[in-house]
Amino acid sequence: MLFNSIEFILVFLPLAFLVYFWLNQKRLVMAGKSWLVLASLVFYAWWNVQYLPLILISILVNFAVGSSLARSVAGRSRGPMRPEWLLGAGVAFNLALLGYYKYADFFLGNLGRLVDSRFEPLGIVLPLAISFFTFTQIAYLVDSYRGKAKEYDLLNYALFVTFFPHLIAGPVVHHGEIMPQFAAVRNLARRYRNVLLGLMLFSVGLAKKVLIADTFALWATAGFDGAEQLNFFEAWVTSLSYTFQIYFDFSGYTDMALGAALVFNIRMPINFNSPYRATNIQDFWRRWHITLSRFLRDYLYIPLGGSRRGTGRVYANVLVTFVVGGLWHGATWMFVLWGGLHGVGMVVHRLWQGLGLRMSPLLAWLLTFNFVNLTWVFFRAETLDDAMKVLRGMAGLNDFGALGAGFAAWTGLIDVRAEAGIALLAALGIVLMRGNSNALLSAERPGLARATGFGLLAGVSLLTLMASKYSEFIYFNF
Amino acid sequence: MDEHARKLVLVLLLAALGPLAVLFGALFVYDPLALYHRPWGREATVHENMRLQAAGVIRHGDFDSVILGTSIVENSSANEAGRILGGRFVNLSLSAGDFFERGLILGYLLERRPVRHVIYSLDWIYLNQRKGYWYYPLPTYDYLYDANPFNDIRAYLNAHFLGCLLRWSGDPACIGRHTDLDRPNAWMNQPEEVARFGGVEAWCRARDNHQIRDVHAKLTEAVDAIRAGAIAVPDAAQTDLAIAYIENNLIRWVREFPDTQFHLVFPPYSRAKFATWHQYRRNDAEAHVAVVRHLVQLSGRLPNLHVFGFEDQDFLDDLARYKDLDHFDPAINTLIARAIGEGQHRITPANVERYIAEATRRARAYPLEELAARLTVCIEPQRGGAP
Repeated sequence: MLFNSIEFILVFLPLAFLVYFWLNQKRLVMAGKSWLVLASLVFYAWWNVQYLPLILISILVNFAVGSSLARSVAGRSRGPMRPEWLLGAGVAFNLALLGYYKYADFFLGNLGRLVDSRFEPLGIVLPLAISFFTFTQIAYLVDSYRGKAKEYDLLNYALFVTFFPHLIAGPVVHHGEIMPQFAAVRNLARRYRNVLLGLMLFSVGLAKKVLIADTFALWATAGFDGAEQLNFFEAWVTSLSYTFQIYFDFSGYTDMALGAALVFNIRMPINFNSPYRATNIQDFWRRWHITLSRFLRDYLYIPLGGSRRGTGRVYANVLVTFVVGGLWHGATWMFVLWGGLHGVGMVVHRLWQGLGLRMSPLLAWLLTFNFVNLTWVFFRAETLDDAMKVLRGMAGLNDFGALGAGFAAWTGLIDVRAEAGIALLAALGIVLMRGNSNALLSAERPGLARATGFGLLAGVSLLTLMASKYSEFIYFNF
Repeated sequence: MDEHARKLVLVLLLAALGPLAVLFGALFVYDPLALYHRPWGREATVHENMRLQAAGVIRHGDFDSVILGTSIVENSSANEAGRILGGRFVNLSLSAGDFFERGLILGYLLERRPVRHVIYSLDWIYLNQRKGYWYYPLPTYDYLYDANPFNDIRAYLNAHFLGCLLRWSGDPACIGRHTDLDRPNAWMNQPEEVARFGGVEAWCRARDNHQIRDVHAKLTEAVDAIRAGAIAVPDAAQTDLAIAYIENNLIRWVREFPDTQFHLVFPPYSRAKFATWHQYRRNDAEAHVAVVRHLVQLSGRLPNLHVFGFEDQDFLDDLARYKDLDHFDPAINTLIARAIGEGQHRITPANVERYIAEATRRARAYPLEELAARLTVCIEPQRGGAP
């Protein structure tokens, strides 16, 4: 089930909310948690019930390993295995699961090319959210090993992993960020301030996704997938459209996740902090998909040695971290390339810093934004040829189009009109000038006007979500 | 503080859902396609977009039998079919409707109410197994034929119907024009269509019409290919796909509803059309013949399945009765209805081979070059008409 679906907004979320707090009100706290787990599993299985056993097995195994680790570290019991081995086995189990379901066909395909042979692909359908629940559980195992997480209750653990707001697309959360909130007595009752802020945040996220991202998606798709060749302006409209599409899509989804969680009195970590305002690539990664960056830093970059083992090793660690980060997004060389480019960007940034060089903030922003925009081309394109098609156009290697004739002429090929140019400028204005949605979470006292405004925004988004196309009748061929 | 927040939550929900509730309520009352109820305060009408309209008719219409075809049978009279076969017919034919689209509607209809007769045109679309017509993308209407009644409101959530609602319009573009379902989308009364009956001379007078240009292009392509010896070769895979397509989108309903009589009609296209298949597009001819044979054999096993064909008849050679290679004059629609009623022109396992042999002989003997040349003279005089 998706947050931006009618069944979620009008049925699932209200039902989950009402039953959970009704059970809590009746002092049936365990039943309340069980209800949330059940609801979350329905939420997950809505997509494909076939993968429900997979997530359940993953939860059971990780709970067994994690609770053993916690007991062992706390000195309460000595298991048959040393804690570090147990942790290794647990992490290996998670990586094996992810490797099989996400990377097996990619590996076989490349192996086949390497040895000049053809291996039949396994044809595995990627289970929904496997990347997220795997990382969440690896973080839990490491936290258990480090003594930061102690969970001896399977129901609590299942709730931590499956809690539907973060299950599908993050944020990647730590046990310590979520479960103490579920345990707090004051969170067992409806808190209308949280409900209000949650709904406001959810409304913003829905509007970002439905009104903005889906609009840019039309133009990005037309340029990337539809056009055979793009002139200069078409190529820039295409790449910028995708740059804004992915931001408003993902940050909108995260806003909805945070909003939905807040309705249940759970505050999840923020995932975006106006990333397109970044003035260098390191700054960008502190603002974009923050919880993933944090995971890669804490569980990959630092264990690799971080910045402690000499300059060359630091750069290598940075590159490895970003390549793995790229590969985490999907099993294709395009994601690897995208990750690698960001890794190189990060190395260059460190070199620049090391040399003590400075740059004006405006130029720094322009450079960073365009670097991110260019690299998104590799992220979005299906193949290198597709990416080069867009990049060639952006570099002006195809014709420039008839800008003088107006927007319509240069956007004709990808079927966009002046609104594409206006929308891009508006989107840039929003990401640079407007306060981001995290500010909502610390809003002092939302008033009547804001509540009405956010309500209307949600209403318009819902209407857009439900809207359909109407085809005029034309007698054609039959 | 929490009491204040509680009030604001209510305000937010009211602002979000209140206007939507009012809008949905208004759309429910207005209900131009009669999706929710028979029209209130106005005469019952039928919208010309039958892909949208059929859902309302199926839910609230008074009928027990249906004509479900394409433009080929849009001129067929439901009343006439009722007089001949008995029963209360409606004509729910979809312009350019393929088997997949009609399968959606047929399945929805049969599962909702008992149906005595279905008259169904076996248009050539099984040759390319199309699933959805690009001009009417499936997502713009397929939700009307699923089990979820709540998503039907989507049909009205677009600028067209919201504009109609704002004006509370009785305009035909909003609520439809026709008041009965005898043949709501008949094109036989449209002067520009009827003007093309009369033979090649009439086609020449309408030389700028896209269908006539299409006819000319197809004939020229066929003749050029025949002359160059570039005949399409039969393709067993295409035949298999065609049969599977018909099975999945039509025959499954025939099997599932044995009390419903299915009258399947191979449209009597012009001989010239069949000639392009048999002389040039041999793959299409092969698949067509295999489909005829397959369905007729099935009709021997399924007592509620009846197959009709006219390719052994003389009138297919009379171009005066066609406005292009496919569409025929309304008298042929009547002929089809009578044939169904009287059991004439029925292809059975006993006569199918004789039927196929005769149809093939006639199609192969048709003078395609001569027809192409006559059309070229009037459509592309600069080519001089010389074949």
